[in-house]
Amino acid sequence: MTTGKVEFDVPSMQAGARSAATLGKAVSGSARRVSGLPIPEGAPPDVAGALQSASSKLNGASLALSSQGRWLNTQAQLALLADAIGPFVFLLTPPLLRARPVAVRLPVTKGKPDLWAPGALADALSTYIDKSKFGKASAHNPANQFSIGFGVKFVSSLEDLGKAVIALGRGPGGPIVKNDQTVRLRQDYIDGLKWAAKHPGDFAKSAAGSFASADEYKKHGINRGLGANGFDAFSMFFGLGEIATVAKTARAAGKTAKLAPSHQTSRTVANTARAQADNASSAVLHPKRPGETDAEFRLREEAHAADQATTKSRAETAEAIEQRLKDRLAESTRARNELIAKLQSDLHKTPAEIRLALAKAAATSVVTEPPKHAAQHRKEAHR
Amino acid sequence: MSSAAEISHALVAAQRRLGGLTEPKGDLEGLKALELALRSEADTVGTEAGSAAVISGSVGFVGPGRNMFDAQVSSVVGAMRNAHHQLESAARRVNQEVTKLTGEIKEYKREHARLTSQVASLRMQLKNAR
Repeated sequence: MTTGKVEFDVPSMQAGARSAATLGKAVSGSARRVSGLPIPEGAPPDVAGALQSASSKLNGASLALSSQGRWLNTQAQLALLADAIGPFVFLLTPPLLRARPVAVRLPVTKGKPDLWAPGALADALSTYIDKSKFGKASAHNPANQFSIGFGVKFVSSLEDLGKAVIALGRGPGGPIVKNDQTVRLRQDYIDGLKWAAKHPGDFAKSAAGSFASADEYKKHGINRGLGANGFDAFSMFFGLGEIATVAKTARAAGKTAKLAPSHQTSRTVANTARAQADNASSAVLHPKRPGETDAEFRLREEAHAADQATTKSRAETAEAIEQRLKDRLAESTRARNELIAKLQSDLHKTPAEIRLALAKAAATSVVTEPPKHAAQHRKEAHR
Repeated sequence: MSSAAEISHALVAAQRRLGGLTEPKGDLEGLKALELALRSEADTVGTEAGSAAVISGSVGFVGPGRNMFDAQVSSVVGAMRNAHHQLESAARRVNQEVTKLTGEIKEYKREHARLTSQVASLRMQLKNAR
């Protein structure tokens, strides 16, 4: 049992979550590009293996980064929730939130509080009550604290529901005042709910998983587990926003889960497809001639297949390979620039700060290509 | 002055050497493009690894789970740096192959030109001798 100090800086956690998700996508793109690099004739034999290994590592890193992003986001949401429910924070399942988080701040956008953040109004109400005479007088009154906590949570739930309704009601050019955050929120809700409607089973599993886990019963006994479940169920009932969050998380988890089996069975699928294509082509283009024996037919088919393979390999000339590589190079450069721009916006840092941070990180152990060399390569690619 | 028979003999030998010359195999342009792509990808992955390392420091929370989070991030960064080094190493190997192939092709062209010139010269000598 941990009773140490717990501190959250919610904006930084949300920024970290966004950066991790962005990086996860970027790394996944790199893995895809690396695994798709064509190996020209005369390349060292170990290069193909090295590329495969690097691609596999990058895929793993991408999955891990996405998962860390989701975890950070969940923790940030829980921190906001914990701040909103005040004395009932002990009902939250993760041991991380056993103590009331301190240093929780409203997410700030351009110097102003983000009123579209989950529970932002309820948070403001909680702060107002704490500072009011009533709040100060009932600081040590359990019944009053219970009422305040219940009321604030109720307001928070209504607030989330209202925001969800407003965001969902906002169509292109809709009646709600123009606000990028409502558009983003609406897209999040729609995506999450669409996914939940398509995958009710997975959604139910994920929703159940977001409630108190079996570990909670094992660790802290049945009463706390039931209390946590009850609280989460109450929160889920009112918080449409949380349903969307759960749906989004489950959708991401579903994608991750689907990725592994598809890798395992890709060879089988490819073999089946190839076999089907071969069967179809041999049946249509090469019917068995009258009087031809099976052995002669097989030999003719094999010769035809060899001819086709030779034609196909010749078709892919060195020029085509070079063009593909150049395309990938351009894609890679664009991805890198986008990543830096995204990180800059996520972390609210200036380009100089980002460059400094990257340089510091690179200086620790990564040895990147010298800028002059890179520029030279880019010139060559341009030519 | 050599006799026609001697010149003829030398001509046959030179023609045989010319016919026996084989052009080095390998897609030089493709290899150069692959090296370029590998360097670019290594550069990108290095940048991404640096960015991932920055995330850990930019997230402000203290409490249980922090150490695990840091450990996971550093593991991810380690994997990405490993991939970066593999790509760099592959680019270096391809570069060596490009250098080797370029040298072989240059040598082949030089030898081909020399033998072609020699054959032409011997043919002229043979014609004069006859």
